[in-house]
Amino acid sequence: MLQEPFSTGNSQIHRLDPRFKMVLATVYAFVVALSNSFPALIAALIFSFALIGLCRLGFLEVAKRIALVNGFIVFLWVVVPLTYDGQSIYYLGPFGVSREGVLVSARITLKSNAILLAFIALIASSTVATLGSALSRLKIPAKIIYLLLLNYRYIFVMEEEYRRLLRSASIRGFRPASNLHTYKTYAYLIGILFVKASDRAERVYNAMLCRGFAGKFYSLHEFSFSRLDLIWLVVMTIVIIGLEILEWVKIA
Amino acid sequence: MKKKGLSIRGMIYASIFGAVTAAGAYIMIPLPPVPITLQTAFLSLAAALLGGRLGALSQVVYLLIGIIGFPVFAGGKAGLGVLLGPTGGYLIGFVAGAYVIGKLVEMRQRPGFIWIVFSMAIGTAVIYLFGVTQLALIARVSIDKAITVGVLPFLIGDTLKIAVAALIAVKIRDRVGIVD
Repeated sequence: MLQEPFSTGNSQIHRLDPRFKMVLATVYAFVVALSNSFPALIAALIFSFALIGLCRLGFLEVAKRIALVNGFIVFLWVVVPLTYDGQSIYYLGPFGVSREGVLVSARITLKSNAILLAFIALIASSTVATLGSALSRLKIPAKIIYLLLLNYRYIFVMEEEYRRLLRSASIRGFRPASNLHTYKTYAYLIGILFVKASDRAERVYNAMLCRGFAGKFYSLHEFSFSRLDLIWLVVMTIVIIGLEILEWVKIA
Repeated sequence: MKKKGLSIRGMIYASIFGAVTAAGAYIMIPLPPVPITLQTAFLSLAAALLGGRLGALSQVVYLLIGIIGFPVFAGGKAGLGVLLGPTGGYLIGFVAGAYVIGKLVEMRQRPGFIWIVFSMAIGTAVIYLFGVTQLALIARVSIDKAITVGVLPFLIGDTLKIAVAALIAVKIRDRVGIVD
């Protein structure tokens, strides 16, 4: 089931203004994505881990997210060093392990993990409903935010709808296997899911009309930029300048 | 499969079909030997049923909810880091791919199975184009190697998904879609 496991807590980061966290996370993600020197990337990864520590998030849940992102990165580590042009540092049978390939793979690993961890700490520490309100205060077009909130509302519903269909099939004795009956059953399930999605969209539309929806959602969230936010603005500015210096030192 | 502006009804359809795509990332079909997810099949279906503009919008909103941290990208991933990472191009390609599929389907009054398969194949190629380009740029590998890693392993699965998605689209198109 879809959940927001990081959104509850009372850490300093949980208490920061969500608008501020969104801006910080975005700027930090781009700074890290554009960095290439190892000192800067290692420092970014350490800082991102520190953010996770300050957030006091569940270790297992964070580890699960990290493992998911690193699935494809492991695949890159298998392929890129063996196929990348450059000086071979080791031979695996007929294949040379390229030094440049190893460096590229290491950079991707550091960048991906640093950005992911920072996003878990800064963004996933707020609920999607709160982030929707924060985006609205950041002057993001209202229609985009309505789409976002409606989408968020119905992901749970559509997932549960699919589970219900699957349970019905199981109760009728359906067991998936590699045969035509299985493919047809899944095709029917998907078809019904889309028909149900369409029916639901029509019902939601009619319900919104009945309630006099005039194109505006109202939010009771109040945001304020506190002293804690100011302290974190200073900290993040120093960190970002530090990363840029590490990047620049390498170039020099 | 009718063309509409971004009305309230259009917004709701785009949101709910985007939600179905997001749920698709969680739906794993336990087919032996390798379980498959249905995300691209759901994307193709949403685009074929909603048309180019709303189909693309359903994917934009799906990306946005993933970017702000909700774990809806394949395998439960989330965040801007995924979009900026080696596989982010495929996700960006979802928007362009959905637009292309929807527009191609809209070109025919009542498209048949073959035309829908053709549209979905072109849309999938667009997704691969974005995916391979970003993979080559981020991983700094040649396009040939990016294709070897990022396209060839998925070709058979995607071909099957296109065929199934097109069959479903033909079957349910009169029951699904925006009718004013």
